[in-house]
Amino acid sequence: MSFMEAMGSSDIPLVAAFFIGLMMAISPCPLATNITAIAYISRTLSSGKHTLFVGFLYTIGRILVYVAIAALIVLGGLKVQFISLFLQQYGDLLLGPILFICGIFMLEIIPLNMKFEHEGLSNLKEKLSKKFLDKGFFGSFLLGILFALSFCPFSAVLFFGMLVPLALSIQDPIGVPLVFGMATGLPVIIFAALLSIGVSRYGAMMSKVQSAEKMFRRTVAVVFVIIGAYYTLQAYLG
Amino acid sequence: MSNLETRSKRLAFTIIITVFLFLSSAVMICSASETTDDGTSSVEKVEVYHFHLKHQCYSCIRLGELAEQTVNKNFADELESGKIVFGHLTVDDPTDKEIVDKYSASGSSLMIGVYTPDGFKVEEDTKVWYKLGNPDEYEAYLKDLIEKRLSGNMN
Repeated sequence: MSFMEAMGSSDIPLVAAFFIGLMMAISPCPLATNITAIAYISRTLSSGKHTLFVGFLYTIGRILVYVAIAALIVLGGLKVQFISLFLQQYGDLLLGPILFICGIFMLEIIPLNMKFEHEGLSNLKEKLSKKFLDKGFFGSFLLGILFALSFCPFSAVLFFGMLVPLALSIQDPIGVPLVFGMATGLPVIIFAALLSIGVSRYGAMMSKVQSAEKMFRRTVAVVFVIIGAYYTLQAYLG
Repeated sequence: MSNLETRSKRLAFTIIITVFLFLSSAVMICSASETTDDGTSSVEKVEVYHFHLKHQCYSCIRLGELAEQTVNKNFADELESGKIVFGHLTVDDPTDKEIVDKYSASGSSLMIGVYTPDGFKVEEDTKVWYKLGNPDEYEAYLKDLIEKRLSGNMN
């Protein structure tokens, strides 16, 4: 029995959930989405804390989805077969076009001007934009949700075939999926932590790095467009 | 006298414990096996199905290929007699809907269905996923599992 098999089928549910999550994080499909998330996080390197926070928000987005689905199944009695097939069929169809569109907007080819007539709404938008959109907080959280919802065949096996039965067997809709979700976002958190250390240590160099930020943003946008186009072609034509 | 009494008490205790352990293990074995009085298996049929979606991942294809190889190589007689049934079924294809619903298949998976006079039991085996990188281990594991089910051992 391999180490991952022994850990993934451990008698301690949270240990098993963690290792099933790790397998998810390094399996091809989620790995691609995690790399995209790392690219997104790396595009603005303003401060160490900020980078780490963005990485955490991405993981929280993922956790939220897994806990919500597990709760719907464990507490709500939703049929595993129904939700699994639905997400595998439609999650894939949505992921590609959304990534592609995000990439196009990030390239700033199309001006995105949303004008609100109402003063309150306009102020709210400004505040939201400053607090979340510009700093990438909202974006990383949304990316976490979106990537967690896009189940590939193998990630569906890990979640619906291994994790959900585990959560059902001990009737735990929170702890098991929470630990699983944390493990799926672990590579992104580790990378964000490394970046964070780098940013704090080499703060003096940051001004030079930031001058190249526009180029970074463009590169990340191109990554989004390419991965989005790949997923779109695979889902609709493959 | 007291020494003899202690000895007989110990002996009686040991006999009781041994009988208890023997009986409880016998009960456990009987409840886990679907065997007839003459010792032969009462299992009527075992179905081994590889479920998948139209769009398959590399591991999903491999899972089905190795399962098919294992069944064809080790259970040719049972396949011919109909005691074992093997198939690849598409979960999102309406033509396979009846079996997909019967097994509640929710994606790529290897499922085993066992028919006994008491009814029908379905199990999804997820351990096979860990053995995809080692075809020999996969074959040995699945062969052993199918043999157990054929003999009525449901553990």
